[in-house]
Amino acid sequence: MSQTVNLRNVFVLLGLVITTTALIFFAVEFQDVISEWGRVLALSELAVGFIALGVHLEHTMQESALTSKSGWGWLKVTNAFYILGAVGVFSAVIAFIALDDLDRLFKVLALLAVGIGLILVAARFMGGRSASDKNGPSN
Amino acid sequence: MTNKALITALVAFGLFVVTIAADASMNRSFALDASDGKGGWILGADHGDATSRPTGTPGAIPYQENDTIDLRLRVENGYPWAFSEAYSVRYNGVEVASGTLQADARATGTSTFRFDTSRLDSGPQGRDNAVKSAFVYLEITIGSTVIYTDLTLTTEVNA
Repeated sequence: MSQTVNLRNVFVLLGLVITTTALIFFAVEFQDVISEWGRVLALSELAVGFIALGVHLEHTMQESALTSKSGWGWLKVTNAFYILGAVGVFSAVIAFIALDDLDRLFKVLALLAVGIGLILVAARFMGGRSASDKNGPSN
Repeated sequence: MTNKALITALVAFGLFVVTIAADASMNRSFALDASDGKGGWILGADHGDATSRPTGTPGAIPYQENDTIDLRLRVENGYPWAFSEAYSVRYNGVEVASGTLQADARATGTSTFRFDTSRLDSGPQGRDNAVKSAFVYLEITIGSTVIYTDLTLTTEVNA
């Protein structure tokens, strides 16, 4: 691994950690600035933005694992955005659960419907990786 | 596909900024005012729409022992839709008043209730023989919001 790639790893990891921290900070410390519903909406929008940015980069940049070391194959720029999207969705779900206006039965049903719906939509409409992707770059 | 994803990301981040700006510009605050005994109100400081934070305490409230004082719950509703919530007032764990607090869109709403000073668990205290104070700690639940307030009552005591 060259120094450039190592520096890239550090930047991606730092970006991931710092942005995750900012998300948590926003979710916790802004509760007296914006409403509960506003927090759910804002976190959802951030999650959509991160995931869409990941999709965009996945189609525009040639990317390989940033390090060949065992256990670090997941460390890619696109994966960093997908992870941030997952953190954003998780934060939005926690903020949704914390809503006082909704009955908890409705919250459970809504979360179950959305969770299972996402899995079914992914299974039905989204294609899996191609054979070349599955083989991946040889280690 | 890639342009759509980029546009989606930009729109999402833009909406994020708009959401925070729009939401932060709208807020709702509560305050507890107290009657001054002469037809006016001693205004309590506004208190944001959050739980477990003390309200601004109105200034010293004149009262007589075994009398009632008029208190007024006030909401400043900055939202473009109306506000209506049931509330209850507790003193020492006992509900002493309840009602509904309402306000139109972007307007102020009030609801008045009475506190019976014979409920005070301690009499007026103070070094000054002429004016003594009593303290009332109220827990007010408005919908899902709980606020706490300390009131200072003063009375003239004949030596």
